[in-house]
Amino acid sequence: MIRLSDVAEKPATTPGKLSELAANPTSSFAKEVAEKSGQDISKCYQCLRCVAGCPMADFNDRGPADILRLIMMGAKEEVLGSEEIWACTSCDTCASRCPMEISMSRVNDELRRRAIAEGFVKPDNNIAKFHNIFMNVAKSRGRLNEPMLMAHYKWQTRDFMSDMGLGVKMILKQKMNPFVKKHRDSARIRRLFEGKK
Amino acid sequence: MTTKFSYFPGCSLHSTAREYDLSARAVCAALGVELVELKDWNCCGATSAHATAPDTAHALGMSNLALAEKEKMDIVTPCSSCFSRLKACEMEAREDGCKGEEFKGEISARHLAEVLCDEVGPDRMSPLIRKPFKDLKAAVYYGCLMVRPFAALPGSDPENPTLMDGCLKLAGVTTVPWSYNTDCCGAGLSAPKPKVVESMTNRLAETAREAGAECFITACPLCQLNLDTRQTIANPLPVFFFTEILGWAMDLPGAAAWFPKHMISPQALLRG
Repeated sequence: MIRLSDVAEKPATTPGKLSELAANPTSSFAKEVAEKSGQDISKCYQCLRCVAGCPMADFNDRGPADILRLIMMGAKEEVLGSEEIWACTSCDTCASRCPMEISMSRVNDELRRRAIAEGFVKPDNNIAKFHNIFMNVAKSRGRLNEPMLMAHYKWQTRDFMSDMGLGVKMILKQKMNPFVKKHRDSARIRRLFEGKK
Repeated sequence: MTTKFSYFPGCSLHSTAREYDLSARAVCAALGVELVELKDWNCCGATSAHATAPDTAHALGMSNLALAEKEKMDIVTPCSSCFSRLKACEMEAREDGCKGEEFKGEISARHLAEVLCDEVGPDRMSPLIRKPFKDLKAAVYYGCLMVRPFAALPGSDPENPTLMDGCLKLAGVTTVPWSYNTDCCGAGLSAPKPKVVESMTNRLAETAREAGAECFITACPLCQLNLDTRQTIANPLPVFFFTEILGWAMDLPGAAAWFPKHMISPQALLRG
């Protein structure tokens, strides 16, 4: 009998470890991700239609099917520490093309949740920063205040100059409204974010 | 035809997409569709909530649906992201028979494009078109979220919706054949990854020009914002909201005030 580890090629990243993992294609990590995301990821047969359709494919090293393969092999650190899960815009083109109806954007929702919970988010991850600021502003005000969101983002990334011209134009056109009122029931909003009834 | 709805503007319509709110309200008023802004609506969570805290995303959606259910009217929103989130939460709750939820499934989340272009429809809209465009060639950019979840807009193809085309044609628009009408604009990556979004919007713009378009017409505040602010090609295309097109063609008072809010000026196309 030919074992998968006999024929697995040496991968480009973390040589050695991944080919060990390739011997056990359905790991507990894969089972957890499948259950929490509600996606039947073991059905993937690597047709790569998701990779062909993904709008982020030009900007990432790996496509959705590659990340899925890593999940199946149990490469948890590789996956949760990857840039790809954060670059996903949740457009669900993958799901619209997949013959097995797997939504990688739903899988990425779970992977991002878990990456945050288990401390895999790197300090220079501006996408994660943006989401975090969005959630904090929404939690404190119940509705977004877009100038506040952008001000916080610029401060946290220490990037004050980019888009300065655009920002000024938008303020002049009254498209950056600093007067958006806070939601009047802050307690209820806090409960929604904290998961309490 | 339903004539009264709870209105969910969403956070952008009070700020970066002001002209969408103004034009949507004006067109609805002209067509006899009454919008009652849902008191105490909360942010739908957009992408950031479901992308980092799925339980919170669900709670935010259910909160709005429960509030809307008390008003006993369907909840309509012009924002594709808010629609997608409200609809996803509604469908998740319904799948479980609304067990354990305050929301009991008595009302539905609706996209304004479906209410105006299908429920009201071209026949009722036609008598109000007084100043149609003269063959305005447009790439109608639906964006991805209007058709997510895939069953959110029954009758619409998730890769090639045509919902708005009929009413836009009434307004004097020629919709160009274009295969990118649901291709992602880059969404919330505009702040953290502006170069990526530039690349994506430029591709939409170049292919739209190739197809013969003079402008984009869209129904999502973030799509409009990205297309309006991130095109770096030599002759960028102006980006309209579909309600601005309809409102202009209906010759509604105050319509002229919407267009100066665009970054890429559409004035040349309005003189048509």
